[in-house]
Amino acid sequence: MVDLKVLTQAMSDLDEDVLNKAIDEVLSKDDNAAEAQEVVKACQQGMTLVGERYDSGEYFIGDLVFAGEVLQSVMDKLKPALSAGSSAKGGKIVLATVFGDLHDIGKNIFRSMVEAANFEVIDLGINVPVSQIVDKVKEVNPDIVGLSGVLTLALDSMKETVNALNEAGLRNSVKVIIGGVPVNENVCKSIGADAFSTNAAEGVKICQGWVG
Amino acid sequence: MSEVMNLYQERLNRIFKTLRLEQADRVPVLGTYGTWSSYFAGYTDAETNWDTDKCGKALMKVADELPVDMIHMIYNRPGGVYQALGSSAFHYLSDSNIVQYSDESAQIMKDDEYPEFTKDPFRFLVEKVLPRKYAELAKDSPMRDLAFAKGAMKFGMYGGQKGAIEGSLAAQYGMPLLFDGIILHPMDWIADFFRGIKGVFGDIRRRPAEFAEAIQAFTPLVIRLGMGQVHMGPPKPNPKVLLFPLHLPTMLKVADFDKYYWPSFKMIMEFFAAHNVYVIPFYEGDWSRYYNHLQELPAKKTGGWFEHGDPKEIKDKLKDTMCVIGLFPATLLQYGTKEECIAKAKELLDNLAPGGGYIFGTDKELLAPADGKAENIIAVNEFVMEYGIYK
Repeated sequence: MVDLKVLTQAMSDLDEDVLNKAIDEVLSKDDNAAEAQEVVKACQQGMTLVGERYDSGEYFIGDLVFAGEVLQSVMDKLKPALSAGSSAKGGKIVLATVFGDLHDIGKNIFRSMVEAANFEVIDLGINVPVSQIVDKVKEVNPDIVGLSGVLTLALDSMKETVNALNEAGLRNSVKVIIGGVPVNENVCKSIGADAFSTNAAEGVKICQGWVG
Repeated sequence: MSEVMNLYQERLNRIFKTLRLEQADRVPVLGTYGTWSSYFAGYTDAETNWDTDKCGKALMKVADELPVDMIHMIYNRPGGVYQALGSSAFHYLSDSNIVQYSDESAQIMKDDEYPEFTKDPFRFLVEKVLPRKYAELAKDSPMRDLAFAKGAMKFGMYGGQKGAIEGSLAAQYGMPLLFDGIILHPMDWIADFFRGIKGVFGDIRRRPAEFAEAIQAFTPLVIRLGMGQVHMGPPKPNPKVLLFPLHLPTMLKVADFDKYYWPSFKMIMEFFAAHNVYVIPFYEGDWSRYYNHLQELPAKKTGGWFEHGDPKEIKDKLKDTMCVIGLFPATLLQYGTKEECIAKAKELLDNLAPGGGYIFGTDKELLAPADGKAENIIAVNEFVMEYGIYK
């Protein structure tokens, strides 16, 4: 059995070598599904620490981008082992960089952190048309819709998306959170979102508050 | 001297006095309206990129109808140059959208190519980066040479058109342009155009020494690219000014900033200050943890266009070092009332204007059609021009 505390620490330190070695060890064993689950949990706890180190000003965006990449590669490696077991999910989020914007770094940071917090994320990608978001919400019935964008023109698309959710009669069944450089309290009100954040870790906390 | 030329000179004096940290007659107002200007004039961003004359017409309308002392720059991109070279990196998502650049299309250098890059950055750019970035330059001769000649010709024409726009703005409206060119930090070059932002954050962790060496090796070339732009246009009575948009610093932790960003940044800033060129970085993001670093820059020889920050703290820390530009939230021009906009402008002027050294402007360029209501822009700028008079 790998030392889960060491794994949590390695994820928090973004130490790929230690993580990879431990994961290879797990994968080399037969009947490793249960242990793979534990490893995922340990890494998720490590991501929480990454978020705390960001909050405290020790880590910055660059570290979060890299953390997302490290977590993604851990999950990819463990996928074959994990498919045997199942993991309980927190809430469900439909996430998108809105129509008219191609910037996804902030969205991807948020995705990796909110996945680490055990949410199921349906990431629709970049430049996502309003209708596609509405259709997905109808299809998967999420708890939360997350809209992201960096350019100021993304704000218009966010507003249109919220309006379309309203028109489709879906607005009352989901919470909407917006994120990205240009969002602030005024913008949030004008768009009709429930919350905004320019900080992924804070965004995760808001989402946890909604489904908790 | 004609009335228009007097106005031109008066505006230049106001701006350059302020840049030198002297108190001018009043706080200057810089128009930072970028591609928003296209929409203001009834064009799309794409139209002005393909037809530089339309960009000129849009800027004439800004100069004619909006109260500003100076326009920051000619904002369009030469679509014809990119087309001639076969670029696929810029995207229009719809007719009414602005041109964008995706991180995916930036990933054109492999992670094991740093040593080759560092050995001779110029050769690497010409032989490896350009053919990967521009499809036409990847073809065999003479197709490649023809594409290069066509691109160079288009670029030369673009330079001529830009010069004509600058001349018309001066002659018809007494309106100066602030920036004579743009430079980028080697690290931002690598992140934005060669490796992608995600790639660079991985490289910092996985190959830190190679990454640092590449930045160091690239710095002299970046300086040359900047000086090339300084000399490209005709001489001016006032110093030339370069815009220096800074992308990655606020995403880095201080230790990484100190290691990878600051040494080259300081070298570039000192070089241009010594050559009487004003470099004005756009300090993107929240720079508050680096204000002490900025105090080390050559005093009164640079400006700083700020996006974020507490105006009091910025004034306190940087008043002897650099002229401060910006900080007015663009989103307020879009969502706020006239009264809210004016209240914010007053707050900025109360903190930043005393003694000089502040140029009023938005915290970021206005890009999208809805980025600013013209009536708000006019109300705020008129307010600054009256309230900002030094008595």
